Amino acid sequence: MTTPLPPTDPSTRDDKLPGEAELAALYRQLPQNEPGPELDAAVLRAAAQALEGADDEPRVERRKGPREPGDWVHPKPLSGTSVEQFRSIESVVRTRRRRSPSWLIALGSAASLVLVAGLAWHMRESSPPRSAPVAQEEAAAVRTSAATDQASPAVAPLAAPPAPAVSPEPVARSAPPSADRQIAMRASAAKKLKQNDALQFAQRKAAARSVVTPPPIAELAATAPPAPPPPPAPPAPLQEVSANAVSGVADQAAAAPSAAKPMPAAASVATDEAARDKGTAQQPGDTPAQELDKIRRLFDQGQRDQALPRLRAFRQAHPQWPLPPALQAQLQEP
Amino acid sequence: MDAAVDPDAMLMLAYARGDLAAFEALYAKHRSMLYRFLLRSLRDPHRTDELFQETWSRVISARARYQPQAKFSTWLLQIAHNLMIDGLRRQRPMAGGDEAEVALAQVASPDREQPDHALSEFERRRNLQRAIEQLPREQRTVVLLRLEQELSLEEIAAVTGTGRETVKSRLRYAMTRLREVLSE
Repeated sequence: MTTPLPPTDPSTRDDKLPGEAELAALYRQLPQNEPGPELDAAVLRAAAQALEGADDEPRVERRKGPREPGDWVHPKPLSGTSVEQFRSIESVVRTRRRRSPSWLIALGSAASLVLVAGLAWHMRESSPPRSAPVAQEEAAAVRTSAATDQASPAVAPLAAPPAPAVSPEPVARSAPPSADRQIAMRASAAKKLKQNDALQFAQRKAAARSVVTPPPIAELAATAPPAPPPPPAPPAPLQEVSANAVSGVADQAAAAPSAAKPMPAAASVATDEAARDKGTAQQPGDTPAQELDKIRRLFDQGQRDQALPRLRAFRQAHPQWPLPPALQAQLQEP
Repeated sequence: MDAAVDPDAMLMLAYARGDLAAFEALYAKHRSMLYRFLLRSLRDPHRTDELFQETWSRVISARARYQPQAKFSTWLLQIAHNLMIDGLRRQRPMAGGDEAEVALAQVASPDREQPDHALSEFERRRNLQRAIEQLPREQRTVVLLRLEQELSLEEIAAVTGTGRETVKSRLRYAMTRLREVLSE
């Protein structure tokens, strides 16, 4: 509203134009018009009213152009607001306050649900799936192990060590174990797997010495000092092996539950076992000669408990197929 | 004049703080000057009254925002000039020459005038008045601001919103025309 200050240096002030003094003198003699008294009264009254109403009324200043900085309508003071008006204003404010959180809460809940679902999906993807046959096999193995413990004390030294480690697992599976417990269990399982590997190596050596008739594991365990658990079934082909394991091999199944769990520490050992068993696993497309070869390799590896049922099944399926003498001898053994 | 020590600006600031007497003093000092400027620019007494009241109304409304960056009289004339320009843009017909002459002649002559040379002086004033009325609007405005208010070129430029050289050129043309009329 204010204008910039013109230069006030006297040296810069303009001089009078030619003949200006004469014109100015004549101009001053023109009629000196004055505003009327009504006009004066109106202006002074407006000035007084502006001062009187400054405290009561909101000052709405005229604006011809767009809004300028500082050109605000001042809020009405609370003293000039009635109780009803104040209540209505407060209710509107409350309604606005209530509305905004409701959709915010809904949005937040939806976002949380999406986040939780995503995390759950991610965790489910990261952990290896436990198939139903494996669980059944593990349960059966536990039952079989317990039955074996009660029935034959001769097998007890072999079956006893895994039992304490195995028996709490079904309980633990029913409820998800805590993270610390999982870590401890994985560490113990890895330790056990290493021991089993060492035992299996010893078994293979013994099997190599007696090619045709490897000693049963129970005998081996009886002669062996303080009883490390038998070699576990590898995790990967568990589903394939489970068909044979469930068929009634107690010691093999007793070791299976501990190996069925994911054990990242023993991953390399498990991979070796899997690769080894893939060569002897029964495949649907195998020819009789391939099946016989696999059975023979099982006997060579000392896995008589797996090889013998497969050999009997082969004999039933192919009664005319000539068996090698070694396999024939295995078949005739009790 | 420094606006910071302008007594009119001090009065305006005092009025903004609630001093009504300050406004009354301010109004008494500038009412005649403003009214004559408007009347001789518009040549319409009714329109002059309207714009006179509107100008002071603007001053009253802007009291809280007023900052003494210029002379109060310059600011006041700037408001009046802007209102006048707005009125002209709305194509409000101005009073005719005869009506304006009657309006300007209604005001009593100064008492100091003597009867013996009253006629010649009256003729000279009348000629000057007609010559001012016949000037183009821009030249008339700068002449009135110069002769009536004795504003400098810079102050006139500030009031009219034009450059100093433009004001000087318009003033030179206007003075030449007025001298020609008076010498005839």
